[in-house]
Amino acid sequence: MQHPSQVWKEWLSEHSSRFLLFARGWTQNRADAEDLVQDAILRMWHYQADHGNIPPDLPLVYSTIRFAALNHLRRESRRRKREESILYFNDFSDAWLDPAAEDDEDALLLRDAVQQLSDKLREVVVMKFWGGLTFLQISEALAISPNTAASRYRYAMEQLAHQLKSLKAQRHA
Amino acid sequence: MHKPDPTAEIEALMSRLMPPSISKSSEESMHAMIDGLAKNLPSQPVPQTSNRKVQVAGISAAAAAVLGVLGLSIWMNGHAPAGKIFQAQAAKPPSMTLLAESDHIQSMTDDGLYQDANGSVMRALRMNVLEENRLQDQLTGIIVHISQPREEILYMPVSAF
Repeated sequence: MQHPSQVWKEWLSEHSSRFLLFARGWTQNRADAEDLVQDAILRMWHYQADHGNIPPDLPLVYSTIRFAALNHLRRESRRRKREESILYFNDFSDAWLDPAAEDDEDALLLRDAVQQLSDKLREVVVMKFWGGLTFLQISEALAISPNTAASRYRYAMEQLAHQLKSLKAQRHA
Repeated sequence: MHKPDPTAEIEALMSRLMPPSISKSSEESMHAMIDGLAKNLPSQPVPQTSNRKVQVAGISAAAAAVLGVLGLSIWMNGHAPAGKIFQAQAAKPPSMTLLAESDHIQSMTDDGLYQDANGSVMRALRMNVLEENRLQDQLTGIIVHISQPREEILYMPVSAF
């Protein structure tokens, strides 16, 4: 038996890196991604107040992060249009996926390829592989059919294989 | 000619990539936020939960279970005086354990496009969800099945047409 705050903290410890990875796919930097995750946790807390104050199911969390991310993108887009004269630098040391070995070139190439996937494909890949969701859970999070989720994943794998082959060819050229 | 499936090869490579941990400052900020939100909750602790595993019912489910168990015991006794029901409702609920819980989306329909206060276009999805809980009274062993249908409307921002 534990207090709700302890239950939530332990749940967050188990899943926060997955949430951060998913949010990072929608943001320019890690700090914004962490803000999105915190925003989603706050929304989930209030939602779960009517559901026994227990941590929510993962599909709902991903769906909430996605919703917050889309709002964030719209705000950022409007802000950047207003500030067109300012140059925005991406922090390239702020990686959203780390290789197990620093010199793992193939993994680093794949990371770049995953980042270049379209939003629709990338979010399915992130939720399926690193997020630990089934295609059914992904379909609930994205309001699509499980078949569509599976198709997007398969297509993403083909695209990544093709992209990796091109990147390797360029590297050895 | 059989086309090789690239999934296994790519997944093997993806397993060599790991999502980084959340930063210490962000973790502390979220913990502080949770502590602040939880401070107004009753001091009575709740059981530990984990995703998709056996969970203990919340207060509303326990109250509904009490009514269910009470109804069953009254039926077994052969009569149902209104005063007795009211008195039993006011008593402390017996200990209930949640045996199983599920949420099923029974139907989903496209409710069309809407515009929010900011002028953003949203697509509305109307869902009929059935929440089903099975609870067991630890004292009597009676198992209660509670079904709670609900209708939800999910508003999804439209980013591309």
